[in-house]
Amino acid sequence: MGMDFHDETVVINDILGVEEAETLLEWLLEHPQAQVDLSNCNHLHAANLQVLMALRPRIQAWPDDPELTDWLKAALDD
Amino acid sequence: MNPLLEQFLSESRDAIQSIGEKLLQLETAPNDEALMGELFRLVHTLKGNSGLFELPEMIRVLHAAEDLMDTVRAGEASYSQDLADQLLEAMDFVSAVLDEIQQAGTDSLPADAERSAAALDLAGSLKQLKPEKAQPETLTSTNPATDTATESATEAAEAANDADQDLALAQVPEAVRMHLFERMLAGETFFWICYQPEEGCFYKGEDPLFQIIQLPTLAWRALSAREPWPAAEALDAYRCLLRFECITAMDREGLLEHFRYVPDQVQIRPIALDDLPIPSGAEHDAVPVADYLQSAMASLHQGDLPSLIQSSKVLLELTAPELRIASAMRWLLLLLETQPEDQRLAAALLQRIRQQEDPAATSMPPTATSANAATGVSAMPQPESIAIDEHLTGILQTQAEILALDDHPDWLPGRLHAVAASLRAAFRCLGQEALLAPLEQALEQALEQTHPQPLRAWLEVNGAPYLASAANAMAALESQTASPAPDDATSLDSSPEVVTASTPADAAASAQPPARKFGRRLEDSYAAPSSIKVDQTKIDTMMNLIGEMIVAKNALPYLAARAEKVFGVRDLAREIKAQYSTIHRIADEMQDAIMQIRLLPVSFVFQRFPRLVRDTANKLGKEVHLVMEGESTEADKNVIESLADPLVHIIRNSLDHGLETADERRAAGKPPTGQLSIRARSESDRVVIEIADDGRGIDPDTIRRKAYEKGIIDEQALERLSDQEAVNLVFAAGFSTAAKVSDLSGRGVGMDVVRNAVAQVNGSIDLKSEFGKGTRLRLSLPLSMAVSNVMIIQSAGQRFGVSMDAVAETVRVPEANIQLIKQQKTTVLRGRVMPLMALNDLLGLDQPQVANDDREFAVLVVRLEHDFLGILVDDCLETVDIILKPLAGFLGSIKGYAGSALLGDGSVLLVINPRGLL
Amino acid sequence: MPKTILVVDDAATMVMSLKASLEIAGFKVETANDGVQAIDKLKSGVKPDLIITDINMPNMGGIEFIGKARALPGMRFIPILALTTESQQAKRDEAKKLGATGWLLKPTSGSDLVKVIKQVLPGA
Repeated sequence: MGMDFHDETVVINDILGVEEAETLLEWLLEHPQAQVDLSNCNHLHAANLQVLMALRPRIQAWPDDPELTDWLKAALDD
Repeated sequence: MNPLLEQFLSESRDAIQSIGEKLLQLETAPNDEALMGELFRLVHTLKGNSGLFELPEMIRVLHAAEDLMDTVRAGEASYSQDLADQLLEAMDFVSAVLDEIQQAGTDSLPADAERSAAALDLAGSLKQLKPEKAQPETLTSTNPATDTATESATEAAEAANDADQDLALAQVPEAVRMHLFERMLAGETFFWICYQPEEGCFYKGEDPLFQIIQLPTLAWRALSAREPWPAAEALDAYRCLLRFECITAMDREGLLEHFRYVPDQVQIRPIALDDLPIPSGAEHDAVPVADYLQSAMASLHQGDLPSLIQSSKVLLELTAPELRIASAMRWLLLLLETQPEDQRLAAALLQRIRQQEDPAATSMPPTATSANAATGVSAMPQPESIAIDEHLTGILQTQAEILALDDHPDWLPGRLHAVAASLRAAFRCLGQEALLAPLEQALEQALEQTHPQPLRAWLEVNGAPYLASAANAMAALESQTASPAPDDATSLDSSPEVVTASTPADAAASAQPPARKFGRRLEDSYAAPSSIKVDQTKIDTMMNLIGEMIVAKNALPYLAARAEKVFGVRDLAREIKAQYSTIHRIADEMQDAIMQIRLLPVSFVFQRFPRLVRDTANKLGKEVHLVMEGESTEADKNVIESLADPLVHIIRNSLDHGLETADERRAAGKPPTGQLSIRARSESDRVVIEIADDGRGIDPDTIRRKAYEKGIIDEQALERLSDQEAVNLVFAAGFSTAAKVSDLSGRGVGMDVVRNAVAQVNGSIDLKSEFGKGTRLRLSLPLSMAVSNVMIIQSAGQRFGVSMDAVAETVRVPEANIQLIKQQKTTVLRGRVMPLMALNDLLGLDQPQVANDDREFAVLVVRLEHDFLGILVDDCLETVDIILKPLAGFLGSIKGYAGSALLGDGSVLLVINPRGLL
Repeated sequence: MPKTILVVDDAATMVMSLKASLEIAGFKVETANDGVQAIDKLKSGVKPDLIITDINMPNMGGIEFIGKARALPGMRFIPILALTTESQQAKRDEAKKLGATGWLLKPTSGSDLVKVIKQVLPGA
């Protein structure tokens, strides 16, 4: 569950809940160059998605789940 | 039986009980909304629970009952006696089904024609009480998702306009659209979805991404923000701005079901074939489109497909693939290839190309376009595509109405001229000069026939498109006032915003600055549940154990005595005694605590009385007002339970024999409604229950005569008995006061049975009656009967116990003070003559009582109703707490003994029942 | 980690049935008899992942409970399903408007129940 923060990468694990959105937002504000690793992510709440859409960090790896990835790519991949 | 079913049975019985109570309360307060709400809730809960089992008949009845209650609650039907009767009957039916389940031990009851018929019957009569109009639609709909509001809203949105769908589909890649096109030709259907969650949706526990991600079989998807994201620092992650769009093969029912919680936030549109061929791409310049269009339309018109295909391919090769015209060519070729017979789409596409690539052409009136004419599509303009000035429409409408008048006034020609003049002006204004010549012809014909028909026919044909759009607008206007559904083009475009516009307030309300998650607060306090439900047998076990402990504890003084006397260790004896007093105190407190658990309010028994009184009074045709007080007075469960039958009997008696009919009461100068009161209260360690009525009372003379006739008293007694004593004769065995035994209270059971039942739990009963004014019965019962305090007495070398409740006092009576009056030993105690009886005689022991050294006999004064009786014993010893166990087997029928108990030293004590001895 | 569900209903039979179905499906279940008790539970440290609440209850009904629960720390985003019957359209809409995520229809069979929960609770 949740997130692991490394120097300039945040690894999202399993399910990222709605309460985490603020943490993610704050961390990304402090680390403008950060990348996001979604390879272990099974789902993230829409609030987290909004953070990613608004701040547009680089996505280092996409989730395994094709449905989730398709939706995320529809918003974040360009 | 499985625990769920058991739970269901017990909860349902409670509910039925409460329903009965509430109904009766409503009788005196029919407008009490809180009561009504509570009643509805009970029926609703009962029905909800029944739904968990296979009980079709029960559900049928409860459903009808709930339905009825709902209309009553909503004020659509009013509470009535009839309604209460029906509901009570329904509850009786439910009770009967519950009994059946209880017996069968399963909820799958065998089909029973009688039960089904009864259920149908009951449900039918409940329905009849409901006013006709109140037939909520929601009850008949089986699919929760297809609620009418949603449906109409979606449909209105769909029907009204396709413009934003065009826009949405234009962003779908051409290849996807072409693929969809082919699949649709193969018979598949697709829906375009636009889901725009409201801004505050996260605060309702929603996760729109999770919602949308579960949609299967997506052909395309887009995810965007409804408005530009604010600067990162100002971003509110919890204000939802997302817009999800996708195309799915899921059917409409499935989609409505999927989005059933947010129907107002989602648009669902079926995709039609002609929605897909949208040329997309960059604008071009210097492509000879005009020439191409001219020849293409000509080819299409002539049905010369090969040359159309040829010219289109040429144009496609000439243009860069990313240009819009290239896309158009690809679509055209696809259309011609897949649908060579049906060229409507191809024609529409060409028309579209013309509008997009050759804007000058769009100013042509739609009716005159060569494309439409060429393809043989009806030249009639699509009504909804014509929007005209509403004033003009009004004029046309008015003319139509005038022409529709079916009177034939003298001034008809003038009227026809006037109408024609208006129409001429209107159509000139619309630029439809070509139609004016036929109008003149129609006018001439009309004047010839002196009938408006020809003009009307002309207007119907030529004015139809305008009038139709007017009619649409009218309908839309009406539906707008009727429902908030968006209905015209402009409001539709903004509809999602309109819908969500009401929510920012909510969002703002719940979106108080979200607490920082870092400083997450610790939870404030711990609150334990306030009550628990415990199985009765567990408490009984506990009660037995504490009883045994109290008895076992009593062994310690014996032990102390032995330590001192037999083993000569006095210190140890003292220590044992000290320990004993501690254990004694704890055991006492513990017993008290356990008794508290067993306490039940008398309402446990009282709650059935309102219904009993009501039903009985109805049957007897009497008017009775029941007053109950002190329902919360508590006593031990056994005591309370033992009260139920006697009280029911007393109440029936009161209603049947005591209270008069309204007419009799009026004649006696009393209010027509009789009063029956049942009051409970605690008096030290006893519960007192009083049942009083203001009925006809008991006539002591009648009682005397009856008692004499029945041989209960002799002639002497007839004279001697005081009025009160006479009244008390109703407790004598085999006495029945009513002139005839009614089916209510008769049944061969007299007040003697009541008295015995009360005595069984060490209670006493007291009757006061004033002839003509009423009767009052007073029951006095111990709070608890689990542990009894008995006095140990000695007689004929044996020890016996006597319940302290029965003992008024113990006295020593010198032998000299005992006289024989008519073979009966008596003495005078405090100025009152008291009969004396020897216990040994009563017990049939062939031994004389033993007096003490001072020639005094020990006398146990026992209370028998209102008299005192002295029982001569050899000696009175200490009192002890014991647990009285009734005698088992044939011994149980010996009335002289109340039971037996185990003493601390292990011996058995027989406890005598003085009343039973006599 | 099993998800915890708080079931709030005054009908003990319903609670028992829901609890059994949910536990079979692998959820941890907490129960309360009415809104007041449920609020106490939430305050006492029970942290459900989802709440199922009846609407018609004595002391504190479902609608009021939803409002109060949302105001508690950690509960503003929790999915809440209102337990209603077919005929309670108006109550459902009201509950939804005042903070419920959705609703369940009584009677609920175990499989329906779990299906709906899986629709609103990621990872269930």
